[in-house]
Amino acid sequence: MSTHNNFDPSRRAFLGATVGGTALSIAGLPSQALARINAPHPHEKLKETTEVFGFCDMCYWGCGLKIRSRNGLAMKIEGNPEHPNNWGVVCAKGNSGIMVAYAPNRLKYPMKRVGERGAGEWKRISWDEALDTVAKELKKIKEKYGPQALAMIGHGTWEKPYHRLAHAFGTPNTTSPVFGLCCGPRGLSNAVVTGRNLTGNETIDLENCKYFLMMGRNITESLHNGETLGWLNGVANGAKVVYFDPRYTITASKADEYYAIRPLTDHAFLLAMIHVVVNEALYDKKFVAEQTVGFEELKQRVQKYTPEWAASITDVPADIIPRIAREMAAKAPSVFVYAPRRLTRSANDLGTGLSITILNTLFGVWDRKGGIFSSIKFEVPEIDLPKFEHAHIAKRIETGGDFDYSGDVPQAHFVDEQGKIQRADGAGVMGRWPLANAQYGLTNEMWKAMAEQKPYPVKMLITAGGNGFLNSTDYKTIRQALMNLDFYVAADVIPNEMNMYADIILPEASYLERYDDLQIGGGKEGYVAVRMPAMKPLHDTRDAWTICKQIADRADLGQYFPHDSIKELIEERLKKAGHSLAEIEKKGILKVPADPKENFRGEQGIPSVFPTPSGKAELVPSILKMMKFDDTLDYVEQVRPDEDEFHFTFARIGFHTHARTQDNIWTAEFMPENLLWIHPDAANKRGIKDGDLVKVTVRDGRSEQIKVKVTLRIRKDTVFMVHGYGHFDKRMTTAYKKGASDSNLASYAQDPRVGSISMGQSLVKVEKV
Amino acid sequence: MRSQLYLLASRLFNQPTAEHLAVLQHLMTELLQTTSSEVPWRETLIALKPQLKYEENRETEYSRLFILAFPNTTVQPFGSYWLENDQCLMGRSTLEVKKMMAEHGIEIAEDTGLLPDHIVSELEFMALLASQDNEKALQTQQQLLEQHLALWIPRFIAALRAANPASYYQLAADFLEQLIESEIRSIK
Amino acid sequence: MTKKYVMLADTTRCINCKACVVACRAEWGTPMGHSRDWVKEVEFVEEGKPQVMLFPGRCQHCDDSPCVEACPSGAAYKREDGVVLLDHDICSGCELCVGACPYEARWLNPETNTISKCTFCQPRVDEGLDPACVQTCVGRALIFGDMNDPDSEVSRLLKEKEWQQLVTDEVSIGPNHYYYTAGQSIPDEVKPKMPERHLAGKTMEIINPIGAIGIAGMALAFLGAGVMKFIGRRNEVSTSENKEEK
Repeated sequence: MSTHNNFDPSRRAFLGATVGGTALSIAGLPSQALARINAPHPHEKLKETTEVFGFCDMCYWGCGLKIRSRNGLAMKIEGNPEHPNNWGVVCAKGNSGIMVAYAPNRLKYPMKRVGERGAGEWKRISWDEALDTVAKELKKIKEKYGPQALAMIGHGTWEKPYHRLAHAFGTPNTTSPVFGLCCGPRGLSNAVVTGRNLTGNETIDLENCKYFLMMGRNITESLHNGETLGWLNGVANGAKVVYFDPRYTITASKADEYYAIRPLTDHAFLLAMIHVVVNEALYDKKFVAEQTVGFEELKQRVQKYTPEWAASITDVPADIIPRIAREMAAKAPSVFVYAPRRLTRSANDLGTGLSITILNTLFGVWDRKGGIFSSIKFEVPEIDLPKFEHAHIAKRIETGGDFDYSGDVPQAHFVDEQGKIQRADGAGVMGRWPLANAQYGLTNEMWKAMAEQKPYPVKMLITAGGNGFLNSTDYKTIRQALMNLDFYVAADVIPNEMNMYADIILPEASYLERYDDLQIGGGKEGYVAVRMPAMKPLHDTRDAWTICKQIADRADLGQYFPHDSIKELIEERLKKAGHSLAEIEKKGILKVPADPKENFRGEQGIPSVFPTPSGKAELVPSILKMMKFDDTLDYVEQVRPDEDEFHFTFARIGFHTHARTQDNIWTAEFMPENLLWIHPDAANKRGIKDGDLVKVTVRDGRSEQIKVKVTLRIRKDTVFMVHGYGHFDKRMTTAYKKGASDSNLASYAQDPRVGSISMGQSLVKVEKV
Repeated sequence: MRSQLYLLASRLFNQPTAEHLAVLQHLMTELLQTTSSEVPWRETLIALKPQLKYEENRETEYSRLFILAFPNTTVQPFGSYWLENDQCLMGRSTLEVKKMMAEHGIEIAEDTGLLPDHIVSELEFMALLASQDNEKALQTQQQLLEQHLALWIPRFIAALRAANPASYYQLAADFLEQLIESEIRSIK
Repeated sequence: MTKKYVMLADTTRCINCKACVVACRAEWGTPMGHSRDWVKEVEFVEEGKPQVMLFPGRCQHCDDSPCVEACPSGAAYKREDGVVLLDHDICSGCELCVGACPYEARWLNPETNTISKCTFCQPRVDEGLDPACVQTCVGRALIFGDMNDPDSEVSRLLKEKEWQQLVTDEVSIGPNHYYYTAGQSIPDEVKPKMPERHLAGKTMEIINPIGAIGIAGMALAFLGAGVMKFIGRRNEVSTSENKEEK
């Protein structure tokens, strides 16, 4: 029973008799506490620091930072209060960025492989030798196979120059995991229904939303500062939260209602929701009539998806479905059906994404308060560059993971281009993965293309950050791909399993030690932000742009990098936009103010802009119909565990980003190893107790060992572990062999229409070791 | 004399490029001519001398031991790795060394990619100080030796030996150990 | 009017992201394995259903601070504004205050051999800044301010919501850290512990190594003369160094 002290400023508590007796009797002398209060002790003074601004590289959300330095060394990272991605707050990962700079095991010098590939024998070489070698290999590859034999995989906020280098070289094969391994089906579903982008820094009016229907969106642990803060503000403002997840997360603990839905079945629940919304006419009638097409067809298609049907599949009680639908209708358009951040899980991720977009659209949330708003962009022109061979692919947006379907996309990117070499991963290619975004590509398919050397030889790879092993799921394919290459160049800040295979390691300066290209984004306000160096590079490292320019110069591609430094480039870009570097460095950011008229057109009765073929939101997307892919709207049976098996699930935790922060000593201390969550009943049945070591084995034979957390916070038919552990690179001195790798257990099936990976389809057995 | 010994030690832990080895050979010849037969490291130097020829393998071995090791763990050549609670670089101890250097009007040249408490930097700094004949240089040497080198070099050497190094680095470790031990004795 | 600093933690907004813990580490350079603040995740079952509550914590800067009482050297003190601080020039690292704290907020810093604890970021607050944990808090669950200022955010929030302190019938020493739990009761896991008892003899033994003061001098220290002594000693030190600094 807790003691409940209501606040009373006049109340003054005294030591309890026992405690006081002890404290006062020290040394048998009376207390001098009061005398000491007034004694003039010297108060510690805050040491002076210098400040520069930047944006974070610890995850991909891009929070604005203020970095404090002392003695020329970055000592603390704080949030830039002006930046709309985080409004001055910074998570544990962001705070721990300091330890990226000072990690003893950083990549410090250019290295050349001397032993077998992957054996880990290198020799330190000069920058000149490293860059000459890369340029020479590029030329060799082009002569022997053509430019398309180069692939480039990037994963970080500084990857842009590497994409530019690859595009200048003439290959279409540049990719980032954000589409194929993460958000693809979610971004695509918004694009095909509305023609709009809702993927990277999502434009949800969180503060004003009144009802969050959260489909496994664990927003408190898979967190992005501005988004999480906005959501908490929305909840504090009275929004209702209904949360679905096989696991009781911290988000579940904040929810008004929580349902332990059966893994992979969100789509069934959502279809029943649509069923109720259309049948009970709970949708926004004016919006649907004026701004959408395909309502009648949709209605026909969802007739079979009754709440009772959904209940039998999802374990969600049938009666809550109409109730939730009615509650949402009452609050619409200030409602939001929240997709999971990573929607690469089931046998029909696109269908799941579509049903979420359709529900949001039925509630008329577009451009409405508490719904989805239209962002404002800060216009900063690119520098003038010669034409790229694969121009549509080279047209990448500045930062973040937004998929650019604007203008000629989404149609053009899958239309066969005359005489142009197609992407090796098949993204945007007719007959392969026409729906996949060609700017970001399918990283999983790119690895496969390298492993199988199909449809054509891909013999050279450049990676900028990332870790193919632990951010994909198929170690065998990744290893085969890396071994097949003629040459592999890895640019990174820290060692990891993937760059261990490199022929040349290019050590990148950390994001605290360099300028980078501008960050351009848009929320209710538009902004452009700058990354300034908080300190000189500690080691013999360079920034991505400098490295790429120096390679380009040696490979006769210098015209794509016409400036002497990245600083000069951003100065020119800002000048073109009518601003200057000195101006942006004052606060780290320049903004165009929010404009309610632009952000919330719907509130003024102005129709939304939906750049689809019909110009309206398409409840049955015409693109899918045209490609005969509209069957994705229908429910697909999901894998089911046998009696002795479990669904295998994994997720992020608040203080780790993917598989890239486990070696950071500041974040690592919170969870030295991950644990397998298992329900007490399932554990008892197997004689497993809390803390026991178990072996987790997938149907295909892959297995990992891990300690167990027995908890009621998970379904009986599901096990869970935190993502990113189980590193097997000994150079990662903190993370090496800590916990188990979920990546080595997750499935590598694919969404049949998108080509993105479906990681949630592994079924596992658990036995005590 | 002490200056040359420290310089030799410093060069032994620099990347064994052909250039560095040429300097080492020169230094070694000079040292062997001038050292008495009683110094503890004489045998070590005699054993090392024939190995001062350039070999690409040795550069690989250097990289394996001190830069990017797999499958063993890197023998970090930074004082702060051994002296700081968090094993991170540019800690308080590094700043102390940096400050000592600044007091003598020197800093690490930018193109070396070295930190002030890299073993090469600290030993070279000792060599410089040992070549100077003044009270301040003597004080700094004592401070650097007692508060830094004596504390971390033995641990560094133990880690180096545990990494099963090639003979060149076994001898380099022996020499460094003999030098530092002798220095500690003479200071006492 | 004298300030009275308090920390509020709205547990409904805490997400256990640990940003506060890392920000504190970065600001004060605390050695690995120790921290001045923490977040406790309390899991329990209610009516067969799992529940989670989150409690960010640190020194509670109690009105009646047993640590100050327990400190034999006068290093632990409470400032007028309520902040419980430590004079590192005087602290002998005897650890008597560690056992006296019912919130386990104090620990011996192995790098300085003095006691470390949350200072409500006094050096930052003296410069008009928020404490590091408050500034970084992702959920804006932590709110800091002067509750004697009727216009402060903490004063407003203290009036608006029902806040609780971490106290028990036995240990109720006026903590200046308030928690909002939306009506849920505070779980035992985060409640204060009964402080350890210290035998006088043991105390002597530990205090003696302070140095030249000796037993007689020590008695003086307790009577106030020792404070003068310490001030004298402090005057020899020109600037106060933050010993935990990186």
